[in-house]
Amino acid sequence: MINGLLAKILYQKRWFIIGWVLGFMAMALFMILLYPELKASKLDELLSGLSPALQKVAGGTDTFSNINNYIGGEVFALRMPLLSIIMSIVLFVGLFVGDEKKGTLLTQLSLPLSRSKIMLTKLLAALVILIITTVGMYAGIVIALALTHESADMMMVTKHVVGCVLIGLDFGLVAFLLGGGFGLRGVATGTATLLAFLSYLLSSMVAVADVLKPYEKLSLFHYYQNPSPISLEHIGLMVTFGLVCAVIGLIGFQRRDIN
Amino acid sequence: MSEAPVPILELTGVSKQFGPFTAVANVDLSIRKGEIFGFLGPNGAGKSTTIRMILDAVRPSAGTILMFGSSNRRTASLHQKIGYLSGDMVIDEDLTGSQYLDFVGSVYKVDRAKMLQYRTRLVQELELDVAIKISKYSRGNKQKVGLVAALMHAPELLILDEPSSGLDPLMQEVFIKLIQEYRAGGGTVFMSSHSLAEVQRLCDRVAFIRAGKLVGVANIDELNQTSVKKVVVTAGDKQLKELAHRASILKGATVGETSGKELTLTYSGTIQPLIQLLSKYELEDLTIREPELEEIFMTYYQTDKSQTDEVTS
Repeated sequence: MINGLLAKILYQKRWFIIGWVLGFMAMALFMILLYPELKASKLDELLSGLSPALQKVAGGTDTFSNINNYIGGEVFALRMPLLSIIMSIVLFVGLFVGDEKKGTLLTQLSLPLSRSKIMLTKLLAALVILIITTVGMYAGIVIALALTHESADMMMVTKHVVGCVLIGLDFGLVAFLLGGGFGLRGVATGTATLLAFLSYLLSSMVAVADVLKPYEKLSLFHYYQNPSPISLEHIGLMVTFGLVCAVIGLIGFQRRDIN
Repeated sequence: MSEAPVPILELTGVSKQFGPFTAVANVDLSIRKGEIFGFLGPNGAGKSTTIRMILDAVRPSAGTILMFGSSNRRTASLHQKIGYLSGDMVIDEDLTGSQYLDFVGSVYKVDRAKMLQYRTRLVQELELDVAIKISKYSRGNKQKVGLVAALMHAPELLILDEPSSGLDPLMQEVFIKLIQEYRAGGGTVFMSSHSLAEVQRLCDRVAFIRAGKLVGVANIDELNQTSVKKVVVTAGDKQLKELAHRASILKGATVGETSGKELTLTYSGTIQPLIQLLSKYELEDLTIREPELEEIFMTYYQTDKSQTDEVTS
């Protein structure tokens, strides 16, 4: 029995959720299961021989010395946020652009559901799905830690997970702003992906190119990575960015024509 | 004197511009409770845009739309009282018919037991297997799911956009029966169509729209009484010219285009004067057929307008 729009969306996205939960779990498992071997290979010692700039690019010289640094510097530095961003953009574009493209949004609008209710329910569904996928991250980490007989600071892991969800959510909301809010269906995926790529490029290159230093705060990755794990202040900033995108998108959606 | 009842649906000066293109221009319509109102026009005339404006999916560039006396923007409450079905309606293909109907039913604040009972009856009458995924349905079966979803909560107003386009002739009959039954129960229908037969069987009044502009509104009985015929005459060049001239002054005849040896005209009224006129010429060929809906409407409207002008003058 499908009762209401939220239940319908979650039901329709069940395979998407299961797939991404397993994907996140597999990624966390794979990365952490490699840790004992990487630790034994004395990579830190090798990195300490590089120039400071290259050390920064490699994520520092103590990444492989303990599991907490490894989780922050390897698992959550690029791979997990990248997966989170890809999943989030696919999810938001599907919910806010795909429905309109297919024509199911028009059908929903003929029902006794206001535009704001439809959009807010979809946003809530996206948030619920993002939160559910964190189960995969946690499960993968916990299982891998047990298998490798390592123990990590779970509060630190939680902060990484929060940061990871937020960075995915923010780029997903950029896709919502363009596709849902302004009906720019064709450019929503491309622009959100391009922004994520440029944001990561800026943050990663700033360590070796001082000329980029004045612009580093334009990148969402800057707030995700500095400090690592994310600080409360930066959580606030990323939440604010997401809220601004959501509010502008909602206002745009209220005013525009639906195809 | 008692006040006129509030129209179920009222459009006043409604226009829609898409950039430089005028999709709908200054449309006025008033739909009364209990009637079946046909909204006719060729493809691209502005029928679907008008319906989307009524549903508040598309916002008018000018004018107002009132539904049950309130602005149509109050969709959450007003759409409780409407049902909508479109010929090209897209419904969630990854759900079964039953799951989709469960979802639609869950958003209406009505007596659940009564709705389920009516839904079951509709499903049986339409011979629909709701356990199957919608993606596996034929177009006609998808239409049936849409029809059940539109009717099951017993709405006060049914908005139909080319509703029977996906249905086979047998199911079109069932559809017509259901709509007639719905109206008999006090429901009101606003339907767009380009099917003359469907409109003639179902509607009380019709409006005709062409290139975004409303040509006029007429009672279906009056429209049927015009009994317009389209006449195509083939004759020699000299005879054709003379016939065209004589026909232009014949009451009820409107001379159309002349192409080679062919003259096309529309004719309304008793057939005798036309036959008498044609019998005076040596015709090579003669075809008399039912005209297109637009031609009937245009003839009706021109006749109606000229009669009004005569009365006025």
